[in-house]
Amino acid sequence: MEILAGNLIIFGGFFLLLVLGIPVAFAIGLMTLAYVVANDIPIVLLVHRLSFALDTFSVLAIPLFILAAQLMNAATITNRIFAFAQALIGHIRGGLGQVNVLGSLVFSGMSGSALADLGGLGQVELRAMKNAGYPRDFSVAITAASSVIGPIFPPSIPIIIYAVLAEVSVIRLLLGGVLPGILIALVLMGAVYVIGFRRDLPREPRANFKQLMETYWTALPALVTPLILLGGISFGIFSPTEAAMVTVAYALLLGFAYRELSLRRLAATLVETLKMSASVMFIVATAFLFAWVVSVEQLPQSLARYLTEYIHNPTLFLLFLVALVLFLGMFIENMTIMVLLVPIVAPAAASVGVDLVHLGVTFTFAVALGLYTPPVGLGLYLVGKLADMPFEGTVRAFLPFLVPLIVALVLMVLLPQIVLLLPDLLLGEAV
Amino acid sequence: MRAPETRARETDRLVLEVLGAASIGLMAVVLGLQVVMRYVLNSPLSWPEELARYLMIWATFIGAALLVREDGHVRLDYFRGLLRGKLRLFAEIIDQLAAGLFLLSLLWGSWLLLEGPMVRFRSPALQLPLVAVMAIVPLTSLCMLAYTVRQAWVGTKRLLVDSTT
Repeated sequence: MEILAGNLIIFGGFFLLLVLGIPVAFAIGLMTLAYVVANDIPIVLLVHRLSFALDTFSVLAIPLFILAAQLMNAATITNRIFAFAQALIGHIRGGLGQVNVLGSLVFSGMSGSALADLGGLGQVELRAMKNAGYPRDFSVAITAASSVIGPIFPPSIPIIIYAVLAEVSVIRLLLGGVLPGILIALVLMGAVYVIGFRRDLPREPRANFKQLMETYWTALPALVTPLILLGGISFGIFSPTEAAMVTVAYALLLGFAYRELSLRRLAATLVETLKMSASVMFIVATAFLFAWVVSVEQLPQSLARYLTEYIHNPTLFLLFLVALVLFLGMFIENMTIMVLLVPIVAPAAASVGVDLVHLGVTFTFAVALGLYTPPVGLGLYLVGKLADMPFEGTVRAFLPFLVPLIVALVLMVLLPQIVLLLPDLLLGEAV
Repeated sequence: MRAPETRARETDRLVLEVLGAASIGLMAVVLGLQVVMRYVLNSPLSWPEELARYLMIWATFIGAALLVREDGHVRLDYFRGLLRGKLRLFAEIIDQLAAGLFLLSLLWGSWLLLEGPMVRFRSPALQLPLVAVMAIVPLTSLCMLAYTVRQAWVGTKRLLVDSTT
């Protein structure tokens, strides 16, 4: 009982620090430090665990995918993707809104985060929609909504983090994100179509065959990337880390071939990647510390015992979890939710009978939606800044798109096949 | 007069950026080399994965130091944003001190680690002394500690100036 009280104090102190605005990584580190000191564990052990937390091959894919996305943005491949999407489907009702969604889907085949999508492609999309005379609130909303595909469709940085923390196959999880990514794109395109009719949004003139082929050829190298990546890992040719490396080499090649990259630009990209990757990896390293404390304290086991008294149904468990994540996502930065919940929830979920790949993709999607829910929503904040729109306006514009996105999430929870079909088909059923 | 001084103030940033970017770049090169060796030449080397993992540790700690320097680590600033004036400054100082406490223990712990039995260990493939890999932890902890102390000091000075005016 005494130990429990001590842990509660440590946990309370942690949330106080988090709310006060101390960097997440340090808050998690301090919490573990307090635990280590309170339990007379040598501090050397803590430092050793922190430093060698990153000493696994799978996490190397994270900086590499960040680097690949940065290179793709530097090489202005984003513009080419957008031009092709426009020629292909710009003539449908809501034209550039549809183009926006398709472009994001293609780009997310090379990048693994929503914020990379917004920072690169998002700018191109906003500019094009503004020039074509689309209402600003609609442009902002669809640009934000479509960027959520980034962390779902492979590659995906949060999914790799989940895989490492929950000790599940990275390959299965990445493949599991393919159909959900397409589902989200379709749901959003449906929403754009409906809104397009009601608000009488413009369409683009239909591109002739010649234009279509021209844009197709310039965008082809970008379109091929997901195929290399997915083909390589699903047929067991590459590990995800090697696939990430191939993507980097490919982006580098394209950048120099298009004459958009110089050595100077490359150096700047490396520094940018260094910072982005460190801000993710330092949290991941402290998350391993937290996961260690959690497993020593047997938190998942107690949670599972408690839960199994009330919840026996895996679907019910997932629905409950996803609702909890959506609620937390309103207030807490998304990576924090990820690294704090996964070590506790994944083992508990497994004991209730939830498939850990199914859990991983739905959980990641729910966490990603936290980027777009006020008051703390980094994605909305960023897109508002890009479009020079106040935060309240961005929130109000985005809300209608939250409905189709949550519908897609609930579908993914209720029909595990949406996630599991592709990995089961390509890799065989999990044992 | 002012130029050399500002240049000197930027030296630490430049050193960290060059070291960090080189680590990330070298990591990519080494892994690329391994992909070529494995899939093109069919004779994978024994050391690239190991070296890449160590470079990752370096890049992460160096990048983390840069982020402390420019206050760029991920955090929740929503609730702090609700605070005004002195209260907010006070929260900022508490944050820096709390972060400093963690960094101090990191520095101390990593020093103990380097003094411990680890000195004798070498990495399996490259025979690299692990001390060289680990040395980045106390080095960058010291940098980060210095940055947080500086920021806490600047904050305290502002707090004192505000209360006198």
